[in-house]
Amino acid sequence: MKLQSYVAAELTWVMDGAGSCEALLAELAERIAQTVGGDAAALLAALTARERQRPTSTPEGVAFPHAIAEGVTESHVAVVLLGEAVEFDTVRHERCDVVFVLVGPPDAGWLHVRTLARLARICHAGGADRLRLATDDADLYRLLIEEDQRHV
Amino acid sequence: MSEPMSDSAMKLMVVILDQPELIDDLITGYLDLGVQGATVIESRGMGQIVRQEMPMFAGLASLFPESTGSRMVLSVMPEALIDQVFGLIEELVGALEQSNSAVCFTVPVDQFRGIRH
Repeated sequence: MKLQSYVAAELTWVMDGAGSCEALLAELAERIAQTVGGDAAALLAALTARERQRPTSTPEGVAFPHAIAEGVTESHVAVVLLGEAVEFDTVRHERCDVVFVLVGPPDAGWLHVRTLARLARICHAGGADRLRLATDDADLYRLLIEEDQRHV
Repeated sequence: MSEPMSDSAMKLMVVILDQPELIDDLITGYLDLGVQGATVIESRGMGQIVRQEMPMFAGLASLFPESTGSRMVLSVMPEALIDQVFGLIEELVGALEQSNSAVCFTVPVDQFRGIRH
């Protein structure tokens, strides 16, 4: 699959920092709800519940918080590059400065899986490091699309 | 985005991956492309057996590539996905014609019954 249908320039952000994982998720839930619609509180609850199951961070400093949420009508991917990384998992992983948020409706589980797999491929083999070079929101979106196009 | 598996034009894709450490990347790629299931089997190539267990051929061991084992990945999928899967495998191991890292081929499937997602 190609990401372009699910990620929009309006959902890519370069941010200074958020302080904590909880604060970051709250900020992102708010921004996503403002951009694509939906209930920010419900989205935050779903993202937080998933994160509590098992952190979505990776050793490469990338996190993939995601939620299948009632009230969401389409799948969306938001991407954030943080100037100051936040801690998703206090035990296993480095702090994360590249964060992908995936939200989708309950009837799109398989698309959710495919999108997560796509994001994992994009971040692999230096992809996340190239995203870290982004200087602003538009640059981050451009780099993400470039990375997407590197893969079958 | 989910492509249902059609009964028509199904193929069995067989991948023998000589770099077991790439299996996670292969499975991730399968999920990305929409392959909805696969069976992964730990396997050994003939060359490995010849090198390690057949001293009669010890003098000719260099004819057989060294291997630490392989993974055989079996998956029935729509024919429409086959080119993308070959592309994925080359993305992982390099050009198949020049690489000893994987062997893959397809087999037509006459009938398919069992789990569907």
